[in-house]
Amino acid sequence: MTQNENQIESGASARGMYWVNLSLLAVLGAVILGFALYMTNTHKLHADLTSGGIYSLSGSTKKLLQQVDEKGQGYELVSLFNSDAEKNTQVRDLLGEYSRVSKRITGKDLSEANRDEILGKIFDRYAGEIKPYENAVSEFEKLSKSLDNFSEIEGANLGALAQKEKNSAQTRKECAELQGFFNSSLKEELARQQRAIRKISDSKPAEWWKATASLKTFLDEALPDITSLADKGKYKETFSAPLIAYLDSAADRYKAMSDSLKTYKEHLDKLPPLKVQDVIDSIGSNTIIVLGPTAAKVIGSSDIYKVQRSPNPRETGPTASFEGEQAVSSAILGLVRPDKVKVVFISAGSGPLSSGAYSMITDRLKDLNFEVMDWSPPGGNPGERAPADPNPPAEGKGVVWIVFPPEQSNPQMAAMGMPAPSPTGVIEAVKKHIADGGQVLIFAEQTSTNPFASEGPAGFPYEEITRGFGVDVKANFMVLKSYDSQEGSEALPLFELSRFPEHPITKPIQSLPTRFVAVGRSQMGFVGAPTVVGVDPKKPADVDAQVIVDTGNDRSIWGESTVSAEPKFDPKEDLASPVPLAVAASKKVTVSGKQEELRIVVIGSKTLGRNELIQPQLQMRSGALYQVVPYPGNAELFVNSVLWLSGYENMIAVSAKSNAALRIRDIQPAVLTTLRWGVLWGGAPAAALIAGAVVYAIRRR
Amino acid sequence: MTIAKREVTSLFFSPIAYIVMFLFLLYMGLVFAGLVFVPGQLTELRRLVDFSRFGLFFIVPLMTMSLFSDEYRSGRIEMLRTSPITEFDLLLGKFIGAMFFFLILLGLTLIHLTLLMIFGHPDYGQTFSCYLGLALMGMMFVSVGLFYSSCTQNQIVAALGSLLTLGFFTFSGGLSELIPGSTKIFEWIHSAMIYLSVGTHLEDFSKGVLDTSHLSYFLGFSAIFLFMTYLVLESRKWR
Repeated sequence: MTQNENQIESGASARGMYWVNLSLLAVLGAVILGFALYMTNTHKLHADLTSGGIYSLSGSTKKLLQQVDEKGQGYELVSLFNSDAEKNTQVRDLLGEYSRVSKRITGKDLSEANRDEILGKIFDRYAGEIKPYENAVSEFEKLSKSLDNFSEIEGANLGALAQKEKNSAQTRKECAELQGFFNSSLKEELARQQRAIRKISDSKPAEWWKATASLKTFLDEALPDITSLADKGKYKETFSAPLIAYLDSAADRYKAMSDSLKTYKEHLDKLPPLKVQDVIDSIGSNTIIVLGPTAAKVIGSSDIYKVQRSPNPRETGPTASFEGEQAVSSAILGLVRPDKVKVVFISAGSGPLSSGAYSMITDRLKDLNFEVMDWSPPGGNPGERAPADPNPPAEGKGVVWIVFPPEQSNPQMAAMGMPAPSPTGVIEAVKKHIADGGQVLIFAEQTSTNPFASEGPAGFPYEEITRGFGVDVKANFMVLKSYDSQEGSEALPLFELSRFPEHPITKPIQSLPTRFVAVGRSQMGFVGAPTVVGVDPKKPADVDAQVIVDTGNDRSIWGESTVSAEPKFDPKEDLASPVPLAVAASKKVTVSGKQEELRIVVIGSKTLGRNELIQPQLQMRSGALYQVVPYPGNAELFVNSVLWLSGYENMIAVSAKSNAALRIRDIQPAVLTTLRWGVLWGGAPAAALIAGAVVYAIRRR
Repeated sequence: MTIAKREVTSLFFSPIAYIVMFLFLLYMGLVFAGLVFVPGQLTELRRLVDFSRFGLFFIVPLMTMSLFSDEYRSGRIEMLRTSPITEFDLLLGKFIGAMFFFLILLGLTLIHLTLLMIFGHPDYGQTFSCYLGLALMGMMFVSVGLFYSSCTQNQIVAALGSLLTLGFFTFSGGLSELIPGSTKIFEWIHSAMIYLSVGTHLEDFSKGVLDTSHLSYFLGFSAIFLFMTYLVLESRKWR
């Protein structure tokens, strides 16, 4: 081998080694990169840089999604929004967040063109309840054959009878009419039904209930005719003798056919109502469909975008706030826990509260998948006209009772000699409810100023119940705030709080103004004023009780023991701030052999959730008219208490978030055109070209 | 840094930089005026960022096509090879120079941001995220451009190669919709195309959300193309 050949060989070997090293490096790099991409995709770190955190789901929703993941069942969120780009994007982003946070949730953006695909998915979930309808339709196929056969035979027989010349013209006419019914009307209608059924069964997915509805209509029309021909009493009055004789001879056939049709119709009538039908009827454009493992829910546009008045309604009209997270989380919650938790408003001596003074809270609770009812036990209202239902609509475990103090007696009632409503029925019912594992939210009010109290309930009627949970209600105290004005100072049972002791119920309402106020003022003093609700120092050892609302360090608020015309704080008799106003307590008990946690919340102001304090009000701010909820904490405190009692803590504080306030303000058309042409389309690009030309010119010189 | 400085200087002395700037500003101006700068719209750069990729996939190849090709064509590459700088230094210098120019392009969109600030109140966290996303996307696009430029001395071929590759990354999300989802393999291809789409990863940045998976996508693909460029440069030694 020459030296030259050696050099070539060592060069080739070095090159070979180089490429081997390079290839190894490339493989190693690819592996490292692939691993890094895989890891960052499976263990994502996520930071929402928007100032309002609009692309972050609330902690409550995250907890809910954790439950979904733990259960291991898949959920699909389908958006059918096609209203405008902004709303579509907002909804898509929201659904994207759900699928990002939960491994079990997938978000999809579809249109109504995909209706069949969506219906198929919904039908899969309700297959169990649809099956009886499908079976009923297939049963009709057998019945229709025998009905067809029957009408064929009867048509032929009646035709033959109509042909007999010895029969009178009247008889022949009657026979011809009946033949027409069997050969034309019935057969044609039957054929139409069969075609309709075939069409429905061929469609995917098949809406079997449409077929059963059509069959019901068919039977409603055909059955009376056939039944009347099987009823001797009826046809004897209608037809002539030869036809009567024929019908007598064929009575068994008619009866058998009529019975088969009747049995089938009864079967159709007994089919259980379909939930899937409601779901499908609700599907439309601008809806979100939440597909759970065994059921589905449809969220309408009005639940996602709650319409509010704009800052200046005269100019821009109403605007909508985006409450998608609350709506979607409630729907998921409803599917995770398919049985709605029942909430019962209870009071002795008052009308239905859920549709009256507390209707807005009721709507909020319904939005959160609660079923809301009312109950007033018999004897509670001395003026009641109709007898009250002795049994509560729902009680015991899994049911939340909202118990209001009995209506206080008033001068009119006293003048009419009517006694004050009795709380006895409520007390007994609540005791039983708690013993059965039920949860209770009790409202208290100051009572001792009522001059008619001696005739009605004095003090706090539910003390026996609340004591057991270590809650001490001092109903003889009225919580007052002193207001200074030019005319002097005045103490009123009216104050606002926005800081609360830490508790799951109050955590999300920190800094939200919450108003505590009396129901009203009469000549005798204040009615339904806030009262003191604290933790009993001698509470049972097994009870965990905590003050959730107090007056903080505001020295102008105090608990007044002796309400006079001009009350003043007396350190010896009165309670100084912080005056406790609400307590949440729980204890472990054994119900039906199982260890359960009983929860109770007592709030010392029965006006907390009344419509007056919750509804938005028009307010003038900076020259513009705004519709605002002045005391947003009231509804939140009420609803959060119910959520906590029902074990729905996960849903506490899912509030609306939106960047909708950040909008480009109105620009005069002339300014807009100038900016577009002068800066965006003309000025800036032209400046780049001019700069290039200048550089070119300088370089040429 | 010397190479980067030289690169930027030469870019600014060439007409292509100004043509790129012109095209970029025109495209961004059209998108901004049509989709973003509309009274009553949200004060955010989101749609501008989302649409920017359709312009940048075309503009960046113009910007990068000459980076190595021109060196090969003029023979300056041999001169650089005889100097004490390594292939890595050369690559880094070119990359920094191109990125610097790209950041200048991004800087030009401050005009749009200023208009938003005058007529509304943009969310600054979201705005930062938008620019970060654009910068990362630019980094990936520049890396692709550098790679094709290192492969050939013909600038047109380099530009076409970049255009096709960046076109795939830009439109693969939309193209994936054409794939029938009937079989497992098609579903897999569909998911892969969605993942490879720049839009999938840019969207969160434009919303104001930082996600490590998107960061790793841009950084990862930039690294892949830069590494491939390095291999191409190294391989030229052995020709």
